[in-house]
Amino acid sequence: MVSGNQRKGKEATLVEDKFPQGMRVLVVDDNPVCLKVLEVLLRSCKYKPTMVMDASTAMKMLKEGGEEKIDLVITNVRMQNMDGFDFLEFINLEMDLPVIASPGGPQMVVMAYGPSDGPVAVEQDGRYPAQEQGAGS
Amino acid sequence: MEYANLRRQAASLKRSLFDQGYLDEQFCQVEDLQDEASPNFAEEVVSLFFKDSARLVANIEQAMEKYPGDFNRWDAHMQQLKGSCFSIGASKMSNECTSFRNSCAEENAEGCRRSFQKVKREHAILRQKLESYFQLLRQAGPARTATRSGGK
Repeated sequence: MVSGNQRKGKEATLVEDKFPQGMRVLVVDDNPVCLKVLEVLLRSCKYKPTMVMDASTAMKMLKEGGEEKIDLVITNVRMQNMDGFDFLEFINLEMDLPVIASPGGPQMVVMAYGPSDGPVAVEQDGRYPAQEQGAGS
Repeated sequence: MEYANLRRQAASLKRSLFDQGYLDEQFCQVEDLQDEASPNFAEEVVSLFFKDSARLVANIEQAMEKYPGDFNRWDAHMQQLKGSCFSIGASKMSNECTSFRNSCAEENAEGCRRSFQKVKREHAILRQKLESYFQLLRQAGPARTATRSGGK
């Protein structure tokens, strides 16, 4: 889960440099606590989050024209009802969207997928990884 | 003024929770997310955490009874709980979740049982402490009133 990896002050500035206000983010996680924290965090960055609790719903949403309405996907890859990696693969192969994937673990290793790049493992100690790592678009 | 005193007590309680390792930096981040639009966000999230974690603890308990030796299943459930702990900065509880997961990895059922008891204990302790904390804050009222002289 990537919640907690974007502190308001410094990292919000870092992210705002690269992403516009009103960026539409689709967040997928079956943990309601993580989802709530991340939702408020994303709103505080002036983004527009859509929160979804399972990958099947997210996939359906994206397939039904959702791709046009989303700029970034953040997903937990270890959810109970669906293999998060299947979801990642679906996005990578069928969607043209950047994805941030998290195993929800405490190490918070974030693998950022670009639409055409392979995965880049970016280690972060509670802070959003620097974009110059070449992670995604 | 009474409210300033209550606010001081709340701050002191919070400091001790950090000093004793019950909470970590992530809790501050949650509180930082409070604003005029969501003035009680921290309490709402914590309340959600305790409701949801009670459910997760019950799931783990049931899994351990119904599926003895199914360490993958036990671990998957505990991973959910740990994720929640992490989100609100419940540090001690999170550490006990990790111990449990380590025991799962070692396929050590007795270790799991012991860790699980600790998880439940930390859960109960944290609930009590955070309830006290938010009660103090509620009694103290919004920050601005604390600076007014005279009662409300």
